[in-house]
Amino acid sequence: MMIDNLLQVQDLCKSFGAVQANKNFNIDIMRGSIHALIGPNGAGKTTALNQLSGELIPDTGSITFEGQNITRLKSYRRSRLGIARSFQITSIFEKMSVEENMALSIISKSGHNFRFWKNCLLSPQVRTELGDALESVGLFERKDVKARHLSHGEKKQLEVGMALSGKPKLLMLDEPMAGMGPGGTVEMSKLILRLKETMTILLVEHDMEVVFALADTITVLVSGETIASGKPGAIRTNELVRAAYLGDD
Amino acid sequence: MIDNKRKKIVVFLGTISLILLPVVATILGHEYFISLFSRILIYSLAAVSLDLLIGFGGLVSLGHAAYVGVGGYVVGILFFHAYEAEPIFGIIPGTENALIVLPCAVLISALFALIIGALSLRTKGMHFIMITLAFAQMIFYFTVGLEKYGGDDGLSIYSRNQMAILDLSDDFQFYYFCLFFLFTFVFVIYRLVHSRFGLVIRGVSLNEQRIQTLGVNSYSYKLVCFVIAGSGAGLAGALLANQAEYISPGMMHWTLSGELMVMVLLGGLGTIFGPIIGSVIFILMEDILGMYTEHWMVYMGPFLVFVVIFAPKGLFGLLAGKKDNDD
Repeated sequence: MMIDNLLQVQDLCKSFGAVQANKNFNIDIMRGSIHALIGPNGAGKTTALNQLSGELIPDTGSITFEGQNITRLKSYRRSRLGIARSFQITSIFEKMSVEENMALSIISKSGHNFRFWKNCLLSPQVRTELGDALESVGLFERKDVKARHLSHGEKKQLEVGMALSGKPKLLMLDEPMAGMGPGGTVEMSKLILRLKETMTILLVEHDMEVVFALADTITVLVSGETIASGKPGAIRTNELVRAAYLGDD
Repeated sequence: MIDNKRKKIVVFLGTISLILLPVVATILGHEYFISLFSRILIYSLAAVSLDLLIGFGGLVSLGHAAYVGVGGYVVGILFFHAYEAEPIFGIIPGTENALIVLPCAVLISALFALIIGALSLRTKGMHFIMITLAFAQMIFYFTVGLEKYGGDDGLSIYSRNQMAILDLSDDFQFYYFCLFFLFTFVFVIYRLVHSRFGLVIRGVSLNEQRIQTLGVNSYSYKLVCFVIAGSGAGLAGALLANQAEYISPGMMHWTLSGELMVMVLLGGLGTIFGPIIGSVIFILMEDILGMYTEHWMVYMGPFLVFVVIFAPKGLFGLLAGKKDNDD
């Protein structure tokens, strides 16, 4: 039953000085699923995500991706293995155009970029992939706009689009709906469901309605620790979860 | 290749002026300007290389003069050994052949940049500024201790490097020699910042965390950027040694690093062409105001403050127009 395990995390611990952000954080992500990670504010969700993406290195514990131990692997190497992420606070290249942002994410995935002469936007690889990549997140019309002039929702779309280039195996979305209106939320939900067909998704999200509608499995994090993990139905009725989280929402 | 029309005109006029300058100066009988502007071209070269580092790579180095100095000392030391007919360490003969000296100067300053960059780039922000400064000062004091090559008095170079077709001791020809290198270097940097490498390096400077999660090992890109900038400064140093026919530790003093930075800010950070304007203005002000007072920096200072506050893209930004796609 554990064969189709894409990512496995065991007893991850991370402290910042006296603050223990994660203790014994465990999660098993099945290939092809949407796995949601929820928890109250300050539960250590983003810290956990940062350790999965490699921006933080855990104190103890292990992370296994497709059978390979990646606990101490640098973030750019994990990205090459097929782990992509978006950020809670949108992280794009604000001073670059939409087109340049996307081109950058395309070329980042493809070997080295010590090419000093030819114009990047005219290189064959960028030319063949750029249009489709922009189209897939609905930003083709906006390609010449500076990223910082985009609306909040468009920035999110761009960020997801950038995470998608290079066809990652695991896409980690840190609160993709944060700050979006109802329309944006519906759009983003549709996008996530479409993406599920080709990749595995780890979704960190506050919006419970969205989580219970989309997720195949839910893991609940409280005070940095995994307190429950299972199907949405089981989580909904779990006493521990109700007490720690859903009750006081 | 340049999208903005006004920018095109500015670059075109600048290019034409620099090409015609020696001819006009000769006709008007002000030959002095030829050697003054040779120096300006050389400083421009160094400033453009620093602009690549700061304006595009986001790497604020306060030790850029170190590579200028290294380039200069390569010229000086090779000349010294050729003049004395005494091989370096008894093995390497000295030379005055520009076709050997200049590549040596570029390669050796690149090597210095590689070593210093490899260590400095492990730090960020303020620490990076201080560590690049520290390395530059180390090299500065090392050359002060080089008694053989004049210590802190420096070393006179009795004749400029030689080349088959050009007579570099002629100021007129030397000017075009420098202009050739400046134009070539600017063209290379222009291509570079629009290449894949350029896009990555700009991405690194804007949002390093993001670019790492996209799959880029930012360290190696920053290092290559650092080495390219260092080589450019080394070339400038080699030309400067030839122009002044003199080298001294002063060439790598931190004040020169600061002056290069002022030129970049004055001309326009991240504009490639701007630092040339910056160095023209800076050196002309030094030269003209310097005739009236040795405290010419008193005027330079407020001027720089005005430019930085009111023209974020420097004087080049003012001339070429602040189009949205420039920043």
